[in-house]
Amino acid sequence: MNPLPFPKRFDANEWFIIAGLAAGYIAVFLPRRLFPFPVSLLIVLFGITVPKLFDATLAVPPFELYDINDYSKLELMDVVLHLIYGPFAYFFTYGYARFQIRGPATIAWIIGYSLLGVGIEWIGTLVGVYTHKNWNLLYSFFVYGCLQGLLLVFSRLWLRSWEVTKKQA
Amino acid sequence: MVLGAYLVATLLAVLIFAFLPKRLHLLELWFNAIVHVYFYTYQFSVLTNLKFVALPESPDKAVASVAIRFIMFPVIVLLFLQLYDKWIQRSWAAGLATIIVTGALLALVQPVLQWTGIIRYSNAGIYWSALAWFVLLGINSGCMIAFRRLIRKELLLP
Repeated sequence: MNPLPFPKRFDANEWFIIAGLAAGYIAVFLPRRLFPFPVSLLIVLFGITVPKLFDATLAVPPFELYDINDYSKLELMDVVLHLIYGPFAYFFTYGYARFQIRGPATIAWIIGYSLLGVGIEWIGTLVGVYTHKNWNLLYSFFVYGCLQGLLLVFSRLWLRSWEVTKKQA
Repeated sequence: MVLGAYLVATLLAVLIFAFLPKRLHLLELWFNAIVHVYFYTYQFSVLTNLKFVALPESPDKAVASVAIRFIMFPVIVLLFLQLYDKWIQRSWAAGLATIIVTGALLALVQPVLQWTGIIRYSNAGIYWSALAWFVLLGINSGCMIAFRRLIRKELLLP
C-alpha cells in the first residue's frame, strides 16, 4: 500500500532517466528563445502530460500493453521519466520554428523526429525503462507521429492567440 | 450501452462548454486543462496504488472511463475555474465556497461511476473522494492565478 514506491534497485534504467532529464532541461535553456515564455511552458507541459495520459490508459488494466521501470504500477521514477518528454516536445517545436520548416518538409520533420523518439525508446527498452508486453516500437512510431502533428497544430494555435492578444494590447 | 451513454454525455459536456461565453483567455483554458489532467492522472495513480480506486476490467468500460476522466472532468474543471474567476473577484470566501460546492458535486458523481462500473471504489466512503477533489481544485485555482500573473506581464487581459 505504498502510494509512490522507490525503485527496487537503483541501476541502469534510473541512471538513464536522470541523465536524460539533466541533459534535456539544460539544453532547453541554452538556445536563443524563439517563443514567449508562457507558450514554451504550455509546450513543455503538453509534452509532460500527454505521455502520462497514455501510460495511465495503456499501461494499466485492462490493456496492460507495457510496463515502465521496476513496477507495473506508478513509482517515483515514472514521475521523473515523464518530465523528460517536456524538452523532447519543446525541441520538436523549436526545430520546426528555427529551421522554418513548411509544406511537405513538415511530414519529413515529423517522421524524422518520431524515428528519434523510437530510437531513444529502443535504448530505454535495453536498459529496462520500458518493458513491452503487447506493444512494439512500430506502434510507438505512429503514436509519436500523431502526437507531434497534434503538438504542431496546438503550438501554432497558441502562438497565434498570443500574437493576436499582444497586438490588441 | 454504458460506453455509448458516457460518450454522449462527454460530447454534450464538450458542446455546452464550446458554446458558453468564456471569461478565460485561450492560453489560460489550455494551461488549466493540461494542469488539471497532469495532477488528476497522478492523483488517480496514487489512489490506485493505495487501492482506493481500481479501473474496470472490460475494455469498453475502460474507454468510457478514459472519456470521463480525461475529457469530461477537465471540461467540468474549466467550467469551475470560470465560476471561480468570477467569484474570487468579489471575495475570497466566495472563491472558497465555489471550490467546496464544486468538489462536493464532483464527489457525488462517485456513486454513479461505481454503479455503472466505470471506476471501482473501495468501501472507504465518498469523504476521501471529496477531499481529493478539494485538493485538486485548490491546486488548479492556484495554478490559474499564477499563470494569469505570468501572462499579464505581456498581455492585456480583463
